[in-house]
Amino acid sequence: MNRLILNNSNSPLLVVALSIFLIISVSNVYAETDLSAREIMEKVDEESRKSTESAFTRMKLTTCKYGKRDGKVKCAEKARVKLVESAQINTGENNKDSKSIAIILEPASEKGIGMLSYSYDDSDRDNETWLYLSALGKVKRISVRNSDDEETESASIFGTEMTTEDQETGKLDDYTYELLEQGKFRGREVAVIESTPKPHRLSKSSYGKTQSWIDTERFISLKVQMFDKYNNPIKKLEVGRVEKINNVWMGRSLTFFNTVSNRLTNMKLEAINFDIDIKEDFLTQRALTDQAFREKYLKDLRKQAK
Amino acid sequence: MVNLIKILFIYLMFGLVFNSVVNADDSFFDDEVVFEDSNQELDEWSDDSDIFGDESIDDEKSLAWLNLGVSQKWGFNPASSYSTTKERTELTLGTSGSVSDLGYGEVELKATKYWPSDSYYSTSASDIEVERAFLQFSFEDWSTKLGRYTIGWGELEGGALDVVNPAGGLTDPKIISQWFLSATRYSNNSDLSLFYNSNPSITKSALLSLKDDSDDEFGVRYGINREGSDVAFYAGQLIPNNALKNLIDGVTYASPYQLLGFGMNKAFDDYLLKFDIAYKRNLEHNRLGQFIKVDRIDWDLAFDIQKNDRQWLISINSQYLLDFYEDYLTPTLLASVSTKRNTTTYMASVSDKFGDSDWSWSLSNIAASNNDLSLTSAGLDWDINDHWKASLGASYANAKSDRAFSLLDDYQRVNLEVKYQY
Repeated sequence: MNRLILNNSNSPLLVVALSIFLIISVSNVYAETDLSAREIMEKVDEESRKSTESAFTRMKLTTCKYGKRDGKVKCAEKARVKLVESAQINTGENNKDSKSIAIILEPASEKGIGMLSYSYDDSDRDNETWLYLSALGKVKRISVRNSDDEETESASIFGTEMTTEDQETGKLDDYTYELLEQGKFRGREVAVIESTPKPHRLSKSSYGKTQSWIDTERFISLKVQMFDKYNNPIKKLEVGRVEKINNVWMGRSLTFFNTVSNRLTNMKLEAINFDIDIKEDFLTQRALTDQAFREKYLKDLRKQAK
Repeated sequence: MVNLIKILFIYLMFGLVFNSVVNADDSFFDDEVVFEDSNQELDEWSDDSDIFGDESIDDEKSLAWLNLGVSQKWGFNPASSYSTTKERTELTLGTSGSVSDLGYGEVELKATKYWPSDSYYSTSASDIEVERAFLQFSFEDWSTKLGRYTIGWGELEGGALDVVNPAGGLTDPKIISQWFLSATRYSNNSDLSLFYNSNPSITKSALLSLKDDSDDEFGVRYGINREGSDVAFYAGQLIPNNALKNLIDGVTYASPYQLLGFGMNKAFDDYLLKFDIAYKRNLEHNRLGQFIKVDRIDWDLAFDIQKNDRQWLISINSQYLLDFYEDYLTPTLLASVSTKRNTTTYMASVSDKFGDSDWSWSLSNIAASNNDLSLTSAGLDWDINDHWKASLGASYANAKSDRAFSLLDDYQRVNLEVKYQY
């Protein structure tokens, strides 16, 4: 059966790719750092949405246990690799919601698995995810974590160190922001901003707070440190290979370090294309059940992406 | 063919052992690697950081069009000094891809070699079957699909509406694909699909002959997708997946019955509620001295619960005979037992992961009303790497010897499977 696919994979990858850029976006206008923390995050979110609108992505997810060798971080075991194609559009009021689909190309045991996800900006609306189980011949709705159970963590995506919570965009009103520090980081002017979930959000979050190193010229995040509810650092995102693609600054290599389990997932964007003509009709359950429809559409997206 | 499978199997077993050694070397015995504590800072991180070192990670596999799988399965009966009940090697070959601009196709063939200790060996030493083969074409709002595949109805697997494809039964829930012609029309937030099957598969005992299996089955499903919930309506003429023995003439029958159904799911926080209900008309049944047709209401209610990696499924499945007489009978292997008006089955299962998600375990219990049956299963899966998997399972059933599940009384099995997939 396809249960393994789930690998607790309750969510579409692509959103990850893109939402992770949440944080990773364009603009070279706002080099000044006299903006408030909230304003900086709004700019990041706003520019991120522009850059992730109608995006078609091919990415490689590599997961392994890590350690240090000769002072450098290294995989300490044979890495698991997944190759994924994904498409996303922004929808809804002010384009703040999103619809996305992710399809696994490799490994063979998971090939063809598709995952459809609708993400809503409004914190009163629960995100939705569906998975197609070919062995059962049907689409299955996946329960996505929205409960107030503090002991529950967000589900991992495709068995990686990325979780459904890491993929969320928007919902800026659910957090308070504080500008901790400004200065140089890896040669860039950055502002370190701490995001703390408000009480109603905290109960649904795996994180007690996050700290983001935001490039205040490009408005992308270079690093994000996640803390648990007891203020312990538990996870970290490092953004590498920052490039300007289609006039958009973004990191092509994103690495999540789970500092509790000492496992990492590297997401390498092999290809990303913006402003692709992705019709909303494609991002429906039909794309899961109708492979002919899906292949036809993907072929068209690949052609546009060339 | 047999020799080829043997050789292939030996190579793969060698590969498994060798591969495990390599992995162990990489992962656990490399003393140059020092794991960091949880507060480790990685301030030296830069674009030059090369996590994967010299180990190249191929972008794509060669022979990308080929799906190859080899699995070796063993089954043992603890109640009989762990005698071997199953020993078979399966080889699957498949491919998939676009067919012209509008189509898509998949083919998967499975060759099975039954070794002499396998209980099926006396029936057949080997066989080749089509596991899946279909062509699908998509035109504007319509999609058609022709071939051998599975159609899933209803929310709960094995529930009131999961009636299109037969399954192996309580002890082997694998779904068997069938030849279908189907068409679906997609609209905004809804879809209407129809299927036709001219030769439905029926599970029957080799000891009994089946009377007339020439009936067709067909059905229609109308699904509506709403935010937070999906609903669907069903109607059709179906053939029972299991043939029923007529106690008068000793012949088994699988005559068509009619179905009207409704299924829905709704997400609540971490919970997913599933509900199915079906009205089934003209189901065959035994009565003292008569072989009659009855109407029945089947329903099920289930909760999917996810907490971190732990998943629970709790379900109730009920069958209620609308017309009922005390002399209704249910056949058993050698005789018959009285039928209850209402039969309820309860199921609870839980699964979780451990060991960096490379391992998972599962536990389930199925209990029938009146303590007619209790079937407990446990499983342990090892996801060795992207190609190799291994699983170990055990089942034990306790059934009343004078009730419908008597055949399963003291059923015990331990199963082991090693699988390679390329």
